Amino acid sequence: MPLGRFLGRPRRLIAVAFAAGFLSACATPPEDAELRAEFEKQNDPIERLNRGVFEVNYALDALLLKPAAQSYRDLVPDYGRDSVRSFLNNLGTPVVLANDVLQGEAERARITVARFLVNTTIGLGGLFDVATDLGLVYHGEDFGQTLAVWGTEEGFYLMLPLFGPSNPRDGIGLVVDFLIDPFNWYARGYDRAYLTYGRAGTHAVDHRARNIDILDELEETSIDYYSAIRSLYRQRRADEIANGRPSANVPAPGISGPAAKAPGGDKVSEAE
Amino acid sequence: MIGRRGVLVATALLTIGLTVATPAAASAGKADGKIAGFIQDLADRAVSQLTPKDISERERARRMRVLLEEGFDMDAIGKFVLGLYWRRASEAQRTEFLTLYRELVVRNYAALFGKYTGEAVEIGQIRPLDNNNEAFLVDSRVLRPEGPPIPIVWRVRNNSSSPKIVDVRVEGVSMPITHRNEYSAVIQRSGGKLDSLLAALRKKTARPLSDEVPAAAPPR
Repeated sequence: MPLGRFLGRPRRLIAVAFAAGFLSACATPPEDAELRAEFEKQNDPIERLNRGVFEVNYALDALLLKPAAQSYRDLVPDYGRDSVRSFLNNLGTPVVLANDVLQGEAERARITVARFLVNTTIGLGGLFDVATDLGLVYHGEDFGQTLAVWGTEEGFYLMLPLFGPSNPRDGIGLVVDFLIDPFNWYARGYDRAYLTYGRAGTHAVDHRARNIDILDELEETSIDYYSAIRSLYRQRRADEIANGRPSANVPAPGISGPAAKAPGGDKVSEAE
Repeated sequence: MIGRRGVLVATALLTIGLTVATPAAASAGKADGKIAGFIQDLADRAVSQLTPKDISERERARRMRVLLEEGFDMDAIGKFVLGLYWRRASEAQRTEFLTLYRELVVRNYAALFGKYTGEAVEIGQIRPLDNNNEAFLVDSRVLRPEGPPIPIVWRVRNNSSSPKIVDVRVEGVSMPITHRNEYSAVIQRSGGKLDSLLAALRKKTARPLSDEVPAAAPPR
């Protein structure tokens, strides 16, 4: 994702994007019925606006975030970056746990709690991810995924300013996650907004640093970077919603006949 | 002091109680073994042949091409990637697309493997997708020198003389699906003309591959 997914005031940004989107920016569908079906599968009715936002995000990224991430990767040694990530992951426990519980994932909720206990104590406040060595591997969760598990469709593709690829469901998820996070209550209650910004900035740089190679690769090898990112985002989200359990009922080349259904892999929106 | 130790002990107990036992790998059916061996062999050869730093770009691409043709059903993948435009394409367009697409995949993955060092592939569960042992999903993980393992799922078709891979998903992201979505968008943006995609692919694969053997591996 071009820019981090946690920043200050997503609600206003989303409102602006929505309003602007419905005012203009609707692409014209092709007349041929088959081609129109293909067009509608892209589910990107405000593509023109999305592409505009994508351009802006791309420029901001090239100007600020990517260089910052690059320096961060070059200057901070691996173990330092690991500690930053572990600390951020540990800090995000309440939101992950809330969503584990809301999705009825008891086992994953237990892992989240155990990780927090281990890493906050033995891992010195989350700086060291001791839990992973004990077999308690980190997973993320967010309210966008919870809504999906509850049966909410993702809706159309939406490129958010600063936050990058999204859709109405995941946009709402961002806002809810922000609102239920005790860290943000604390920052607001004690008038320490800089904590929220500092955390968001660190998260953005860490996240971007991890994805430098992958995104460079994609940009270089793709013909239409915007479309490649759109496809990638949807596939990643489908995978995250399914908690990594592979789903057999997605299209794939060379296999005819009704595909077997993988356990737990249902309700995954098709990646196209 | 006791309080602190109490916390540690409680944490340790909790952790032991909570640690998830990984279910053992799939039942060792005959077809399963064949498929697992096929993927493991291909992955091991890819790592040993494509990751050395002392070969030229052209040589790496040549090796990649051999492995790709052997392990993957590139015709099926190419058809899938073109989707509905495959049916609308002329014979000449189809042939050119398959040639260009192969070349693009070869170049992309050769370049990717050229950057790897110290990776290994570990095969996990093999899951049949039908009752005739003709299609399988193979779970695997790429173990890296640093960072968590990357989950990769292979979709293998086994209805010809040798098994062939038809899809690879890295953390849920499929190369054929990404290309299919992207290329469909490219064609649409040019008013439904396949030739614009072919022109773009031609441009992407036009650069001559280098024969130069790098002197020493760069630090990263």
